[in-house]
Amino acid sequence: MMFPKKRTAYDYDAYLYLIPALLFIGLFIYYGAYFNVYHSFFKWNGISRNMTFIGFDNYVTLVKDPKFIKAITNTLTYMVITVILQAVIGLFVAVVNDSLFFGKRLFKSLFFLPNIMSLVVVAVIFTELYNFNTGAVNEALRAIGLENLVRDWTGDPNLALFAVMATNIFTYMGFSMIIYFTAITQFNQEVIESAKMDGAGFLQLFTRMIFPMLKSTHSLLLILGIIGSLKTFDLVWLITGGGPARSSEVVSTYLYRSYVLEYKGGYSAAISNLIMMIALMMTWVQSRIQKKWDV
Amino acid sequence: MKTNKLIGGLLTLSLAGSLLAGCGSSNNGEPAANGGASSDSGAKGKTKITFWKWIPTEGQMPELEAAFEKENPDIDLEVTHVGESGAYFQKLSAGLAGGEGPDVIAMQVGANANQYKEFLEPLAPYAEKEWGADWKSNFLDVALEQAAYSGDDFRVLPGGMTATPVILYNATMFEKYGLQVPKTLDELNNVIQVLKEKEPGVIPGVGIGAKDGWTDRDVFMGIVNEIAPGKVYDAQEGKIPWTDPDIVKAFQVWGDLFKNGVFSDGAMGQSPYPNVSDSFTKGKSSMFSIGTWHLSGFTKVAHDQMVKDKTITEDTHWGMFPFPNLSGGKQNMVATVDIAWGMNADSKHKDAVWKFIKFMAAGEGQKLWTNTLQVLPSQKGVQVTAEMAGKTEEQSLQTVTDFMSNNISGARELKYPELQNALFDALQAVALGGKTPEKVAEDIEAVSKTVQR
Amino acid sequence: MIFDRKDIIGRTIVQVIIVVMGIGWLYPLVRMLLKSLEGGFVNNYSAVFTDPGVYRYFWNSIVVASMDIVLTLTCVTLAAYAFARLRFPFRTPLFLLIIIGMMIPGAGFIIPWFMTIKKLGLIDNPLSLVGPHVAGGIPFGLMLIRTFFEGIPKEINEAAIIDGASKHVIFRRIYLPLGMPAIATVTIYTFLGSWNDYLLPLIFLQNEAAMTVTLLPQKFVVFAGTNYGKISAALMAISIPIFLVYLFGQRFLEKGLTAGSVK
Repeated sequence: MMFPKKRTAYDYDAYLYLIPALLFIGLFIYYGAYFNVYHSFFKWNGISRNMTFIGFDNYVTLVKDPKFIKAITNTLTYMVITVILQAVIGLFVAVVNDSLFFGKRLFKSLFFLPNIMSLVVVAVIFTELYNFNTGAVNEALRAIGLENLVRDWTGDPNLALFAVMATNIFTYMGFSMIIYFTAITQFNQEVIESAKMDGAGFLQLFTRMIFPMLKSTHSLLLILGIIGSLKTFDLVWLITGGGPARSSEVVSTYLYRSYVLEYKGGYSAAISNLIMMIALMMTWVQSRIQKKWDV
Repeated sequence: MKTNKLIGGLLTLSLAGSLLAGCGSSNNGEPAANGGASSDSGAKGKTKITFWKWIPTEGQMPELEAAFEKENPDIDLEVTHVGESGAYFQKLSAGLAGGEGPDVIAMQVGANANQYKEFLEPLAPYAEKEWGADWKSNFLDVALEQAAYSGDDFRVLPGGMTATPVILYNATMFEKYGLQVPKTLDELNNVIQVLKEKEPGVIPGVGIGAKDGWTDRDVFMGIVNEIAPGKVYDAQEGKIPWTDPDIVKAFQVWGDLFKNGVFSDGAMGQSPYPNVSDSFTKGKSSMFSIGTWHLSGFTKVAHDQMVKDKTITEDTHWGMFPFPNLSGGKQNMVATVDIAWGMNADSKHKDAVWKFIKFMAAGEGQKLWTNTLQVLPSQKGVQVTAEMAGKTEEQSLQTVTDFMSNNISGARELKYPELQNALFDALQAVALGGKTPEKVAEDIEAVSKTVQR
Repeated sequence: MIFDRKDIIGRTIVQVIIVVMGIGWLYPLVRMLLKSLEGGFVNNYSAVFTDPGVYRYFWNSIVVASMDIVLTLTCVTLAAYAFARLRFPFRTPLFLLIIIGMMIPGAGFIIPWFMTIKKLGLIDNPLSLVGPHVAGGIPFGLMLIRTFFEGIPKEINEAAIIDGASKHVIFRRIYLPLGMPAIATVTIYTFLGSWNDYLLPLIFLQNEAAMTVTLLPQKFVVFAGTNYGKISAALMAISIPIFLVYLFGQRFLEKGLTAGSVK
């Protein structure tokens, strides 16, 4: 962070500029966080006026709960795969965009479009596409004679999570693409052109120049990706419901299930707190790594 | 400070916004709502009671509301429709926990009702005052028994019944190939085989939305009650272990239905609504494992509407039969009170709420609503008089009514949410072949041990 | 251009890959459109648009989205200016305090939010959505606009100070106008988040007169038969404003995001 070095005095009126933001954050985020911390020490069904203080029991149960551990593993898988693929595909599309013969704007708009649509709409479409009998994916496979690749995409416990990830990539790839694209347009084109003159090919240009120059873009996408995947809920809930038999359960669907469907208010408050701690830890680790990079 | 000006401006803007939206939310004299939502309480002197629900559906509610308000001109019923039961209960729990729940509460018996007990007013005293000491004779025994799950003081009263498992079938297709309603597993397999050969474009087997755990449970409860009537309820209470051989066998029979192609492939990725229902309605599948509420699509009114919407052709007819005999026991159905009516203990208009509950449980509302066949009567002696769309529809209603009187083997729902969720997981795991019946029985037993009863 | 203009082979390969991907991205959208035509275009869309309540849904969503935008921008631009250009104790901790809010899943906040809203007297009022929306939108907006403000040359700032301009004048005359691309981006994102929200309206709004657009499709759910056509038509109908905003706002979206991506 840059400080105006010439001035040593503090701008105490700066706090006035923060009042509106802190008001909303305090009222709606920190009050909620306090509420969750408090209730995580109770056995409470989430609606009742009665609750029992049980200390850290909820946390002890939670770290030993195999369903929660499964949800954590799934979330991490989801995070690693979607963040990387979204970035890789997005970067590819962004890099080659201006080499296209036609459709430069068209394809950019098309790839970005799902990112702004309601997730309810996206989920409805993909549930359709994945349908075993009438879905377009299986219909296409049958049509080109790959009958033996036909699967129950959202009903097979080995595939369900990946089916949701594919939807996630469809939805958010365009976001990575736009970010990379705008970053690339800021580059000094002459440097690239002169490298090309020197005979650098696509791969060399990409690995030696473009990729390293996008360092801060990678890290921005990484942070947003980590936070986004920890919170990912709508697509999973609407497409697989965390099933079958919890094979695609992620932390936020587990939170929702415990809270809304199993009436474990105290327990789900503990889950909520743990997710936040994990998010903080990951962001911290990420910023450490980035600092190392920058040096 | 100039910043103050800015913040001041901001507040003015918020205020302007509140005014804009404020007029939207309450004082709007126009009945913005059609269908479900009631007109506003603009009329003076009326008692306004609020009511949230997922059923009666948007199509069924206006008639009920009009009849109720005609009978009770001094009460204004304000209805909020929530699309499906999951969303409804989420909304209800937030509302009640925040002290802002509705006056009339639509409930389910079983896993849900117990959680809400403290928010529900005991209804036995109201019933006794209304109908006398003998009030219980108003209702079917099975309905009353389930309504009493959450206490002998009756925190809820039955509003109707649904029963499962049943198979909905395309009667037009059956008739085309001279197929009879199957009574045994062999007969059902035969039907599936014939249709597979004759109608290659139709998805083979019985469609089921196995993605939704409740639909799996409904079939399983039928199976387990065929093998060993009542045992599963003992297991629910921890009196016998879930690893009991009869229960394990029921898991086996359930799994075999998938393994042997009785249920259509790809069932685990589909929900009953909208996926399987959609395939069935469009004639892409011939049979659909579901519940008696689907009779609401059998009435002449519903049939005509679907023809008008071009979802089915004029000559399409449907039927419904109970699950065939799968393991040599007795064909049966499980039933649940669906929905049960409750009164918010904090309501300020308890008498008005009672009038609505009375209307729906044992009054004109019961007759009107059961006539849509969304639910079957839970009040004794109520006859469904709806005109059905055709012969098979009429016969199906007859069959279901007979089963309701004679072959109900128990409750659809388990009482404990965690146990019920564990059962959902177990049934999906067995259906996928990922776990053996013995293993899932152990899994449930492990959960069962942690349940506080 | 990463390929040499004359590298026809390389460019052709890339063009083919992009076209194939394009089909993959286009198909689901087309499918949706076709679905909404099932059972007849007129039948489905007229069912949606002749519903007397439907305009109320749209109006409420517009009011909520406008409030969200105004309040989010106010909070975010002021705070971004302070964090980018002013010096005060606890600057970094306060910044983190605001950003961390973005890491908690919304599902865990349902009950506390409900209670807060009740205390504010906003139950069953579409404005109950505004608080959580603004609080949820602040972290992303703040990150974006702060980075953008930091990119504005400090010399302009210092020159203005020498001319005796107050902080507020600098904020309004320099940072707000120069920050427009990023502000436009945040505006669009706020609009999208507000318009597409489903969970909160579901829980907070009871009266149909108070409901917002994402609650519209559930009106057409039936338990027997099918209504896919009408539900899809409703989904299309509520997506139309999104498409329009995108059509006209795409330029700003790209420009503004630049801020976050290059330093």
